[in-house]
Amino acid sequence: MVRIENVMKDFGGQRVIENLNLEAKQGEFLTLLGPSGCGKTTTLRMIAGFEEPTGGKILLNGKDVSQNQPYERDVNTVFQSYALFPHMNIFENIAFGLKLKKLPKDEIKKRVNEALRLVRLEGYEGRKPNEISGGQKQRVAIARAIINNPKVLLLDEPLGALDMKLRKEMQIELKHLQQKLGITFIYVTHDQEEALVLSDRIAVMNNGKVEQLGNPSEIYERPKTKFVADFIGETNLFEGTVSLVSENCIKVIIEDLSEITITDPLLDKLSLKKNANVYVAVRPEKMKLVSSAKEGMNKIKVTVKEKIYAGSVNKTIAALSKGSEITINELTGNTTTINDISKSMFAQWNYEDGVVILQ
Amino acid sequence: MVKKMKSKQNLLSLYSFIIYSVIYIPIIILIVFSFNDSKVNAMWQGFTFKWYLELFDNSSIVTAMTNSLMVAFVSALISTAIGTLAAVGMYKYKFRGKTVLDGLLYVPIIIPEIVMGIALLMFFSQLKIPTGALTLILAHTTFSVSYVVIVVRSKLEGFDPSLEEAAMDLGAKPLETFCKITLPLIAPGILAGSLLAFTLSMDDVIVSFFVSGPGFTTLPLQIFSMVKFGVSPEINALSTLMLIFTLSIALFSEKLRFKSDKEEKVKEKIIFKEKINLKSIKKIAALFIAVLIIAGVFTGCSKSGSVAQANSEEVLNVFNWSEYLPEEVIEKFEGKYNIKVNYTTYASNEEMLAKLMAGGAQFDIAVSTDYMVDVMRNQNLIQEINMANIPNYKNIGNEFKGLAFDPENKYTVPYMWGNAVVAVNTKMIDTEINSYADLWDNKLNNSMVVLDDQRAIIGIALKKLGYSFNETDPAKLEEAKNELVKLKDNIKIYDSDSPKTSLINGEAAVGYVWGAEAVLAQLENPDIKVFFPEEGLYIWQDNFVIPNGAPNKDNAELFINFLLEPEISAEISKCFPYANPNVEAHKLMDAETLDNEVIYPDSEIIKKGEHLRDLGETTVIYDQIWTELKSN
Repeated sequence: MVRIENVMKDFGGQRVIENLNLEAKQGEFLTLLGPSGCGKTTTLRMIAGFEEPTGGKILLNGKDVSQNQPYERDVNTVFQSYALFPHMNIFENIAFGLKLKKLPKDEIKKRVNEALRLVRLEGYEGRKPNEISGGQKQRVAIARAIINNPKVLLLDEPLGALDMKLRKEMQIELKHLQQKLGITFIYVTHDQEEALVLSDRIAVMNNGKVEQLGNPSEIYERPKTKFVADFIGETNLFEGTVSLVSENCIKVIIEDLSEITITDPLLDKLSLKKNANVYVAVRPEKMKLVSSAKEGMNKIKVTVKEKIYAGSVNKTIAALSKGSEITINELTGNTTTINDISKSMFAQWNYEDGVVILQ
Repeated sequence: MVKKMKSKQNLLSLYSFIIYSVIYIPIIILIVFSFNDSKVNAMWQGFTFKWYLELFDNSSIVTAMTNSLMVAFVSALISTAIGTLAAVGMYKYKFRGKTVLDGLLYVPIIIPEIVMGIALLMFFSQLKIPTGALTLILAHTTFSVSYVVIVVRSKLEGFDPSLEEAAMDLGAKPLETFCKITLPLIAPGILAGSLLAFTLSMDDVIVSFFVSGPGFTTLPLQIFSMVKFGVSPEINALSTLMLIFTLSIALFSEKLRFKSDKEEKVKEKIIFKEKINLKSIKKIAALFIAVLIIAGVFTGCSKSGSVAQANSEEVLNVFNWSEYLPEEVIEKFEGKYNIKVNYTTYASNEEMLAKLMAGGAQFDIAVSTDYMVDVMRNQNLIQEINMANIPNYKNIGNEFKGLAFDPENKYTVPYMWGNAVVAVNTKMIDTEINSYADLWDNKLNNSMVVLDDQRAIIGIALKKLGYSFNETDPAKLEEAKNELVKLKDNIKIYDSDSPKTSLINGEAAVGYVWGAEAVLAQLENPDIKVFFPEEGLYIWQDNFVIPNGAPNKDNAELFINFLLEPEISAEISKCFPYANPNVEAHKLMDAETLDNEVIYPDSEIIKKGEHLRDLGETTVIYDQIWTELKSN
């Protein structure tokens, strides 16, 4: 549907997108995820036609549209600021694209009403954008963007301005809408949780490059780079050197000289050699804090620094003997609430819960 | 605590009251006196609308008003178009040197107006563009553009650029985007900017002063030149009308801006409002523009009519003091010789000199006072008059010819003359004042109104000491200065424009004022008596001169000759109370006027009088003495 081939973009002599290759398939919900300044919005704006690529091609349905103006492309955009026309009412806002096409009046009316029904805003057509709430504005922006039946809908952090509760509701609504319409969504966000909830696939971007492309569980469970591991969710990262590569497992010696075992069935063991420098990423919720370590699991000795109650989980900040800190999340109710601050304990996790990342 | 706060509040409201009083009381007085049924501004005589009615009978005011409206409309239109495009361009595009260009856009606002005026005049005269309607429009456009840019940009600052992107995204081409999204959203700013440009143009004096030309003056310039001869109730009425006009435009444009700002701010509030705001703005704007277009077409037609006339006929560009020549006389001349007269006025010799030196306006005749003739001749600004073309020159009395500023009668033809005398309210002061020295009497402490004129006042000190009005010896001037320090305690008011007012209303008991003013004061207040100081009078004489490079010299001489016809000259004297040097005209004038010895003193008194001369370098010393006198 949308193909980005070797696209580059310079702003004032500075490269912000470097040789980007990406494809969104028919009916797919693809999210561009990354911190601000990573190039995700620029990529979206190049697809929309607001920015021209410095190099490379953007193909829409197999046709190169790199040089086309925004009004010549079969894509529509939902803006972060909604960008509703303040001097027009809701009906006129939604009808804008159809009026430009000079469609007959009753058809415009029919299609606008359809769109209003789709976003559940019947009865609001006479109001001005400043007379409706943020969530309603969001829906108007979506209705306005899909009225032209675009092949691809581009969404630039569309939920960024909403409060947490409304955002969660709108996420689900968006997902349902996308399934109903069956058109390709390309969605930009810096909110990793939102990306995980909504997407069929996520492209994690950093410094103008795609760090990892995959479905949400791949991104979360098997980060391929330190950046991805760090950016998506909470992660404990151990730096170390490979001490053993065998058929079933590899072993890594970390800073406090303890040896960690990883039995990752998907790990490409051929690319790993003894003495290679690697990271081992372990999610905090996979770890447990114990006073006496069981055999058959990884364990490291830590000193408890701080305990934080965070609703569904208890967070423990603990320090390794060399000083670097890790986080352990345990479901509340499952843990003993004894005061173990400053106590020497063990952090424990299963061999299959660690992920090796090449340096 | 509460008490303390209350007294603090009282103090605060008192302070606010004083501030607002200082700002608005003068304006209120002006408005009140525009309804005063008296020619003099000093006393309330009763309510009347007659000054307003007289305004519309005064064709020079009506012409100036239509000129002003036309210039304001056209310059507002052009500067709005240019300013809006500049603002949008600056907002949208980034390019090399933008900061510099951006900064330069705002410079016209901080350039002193007088510099701008002189610069524009020099520019136009270099390009040989004759000053008039065109130069006024260009000049007003020049300074208005910056203001339009500022107002439109402030509207654009709050403009979300993604609105334009959204429109393009939905299929709108750039022009459609501009017309359907950008323009409607910044329209209140554009309208406010154009109204601002309109009022700026309507109100401008300084720049207009330099770039206005023969026969084309604007309303503020007209008022300005009228004011020099005293603030009449007509001027109050005219000022009141202008005030109301500009105020309502300003209020309207503020309302526009406020309304649309408010519209943006009312967020989240769910109100079922009909689409009043923009619709009503659109309606009002359409109405306003329609009125302006009608006014513009109307004035434009009348203008182009007169221009066409000017092309087919002979022309004469006259530059004269305001309130110095009746319109009927000009019309008679035009009718008799089929020459179109472009009549422009000024309010001081210096103003005339500035315009002639700048060379932008090509005048055929100017009227210059004695000492200014010296200056103009030295600067080579005037040329010899061909007296053979002015047979009526013989009508001028011999005592007015061959004066020091033109001993051979080559450059000037006398027009009017006058003097400065001492006027005394005999009800308030019982002593006679027969000499300048008597003015130093300490009985007159803080009771005198004198001319706000350095040559006149330093002059009377010199005369008291037995020197000349034109003294150049620094030592003698120093003596005069010491005398003036003593005189200071007696002076209550300095007023050259309308010294009669303070004499009539009793604010001053003694005046050293123009003879014509003293006569007017006597008419209102019979207790006022006039004295001629024995040391000798200050006498002035205004003269026709022909500027170098006058394009219609023959017509100018024809005109001068025409004005010297006894009948015409007598007609002029009927309208203006100055002394007429045309002895043939005296035969046709009222005996009463000629017998008024304040206007026409005995020839003995005239002989003792002195005309002012240009003092060259010594002027600096006079300036210093004057500044010191007025500052301490």
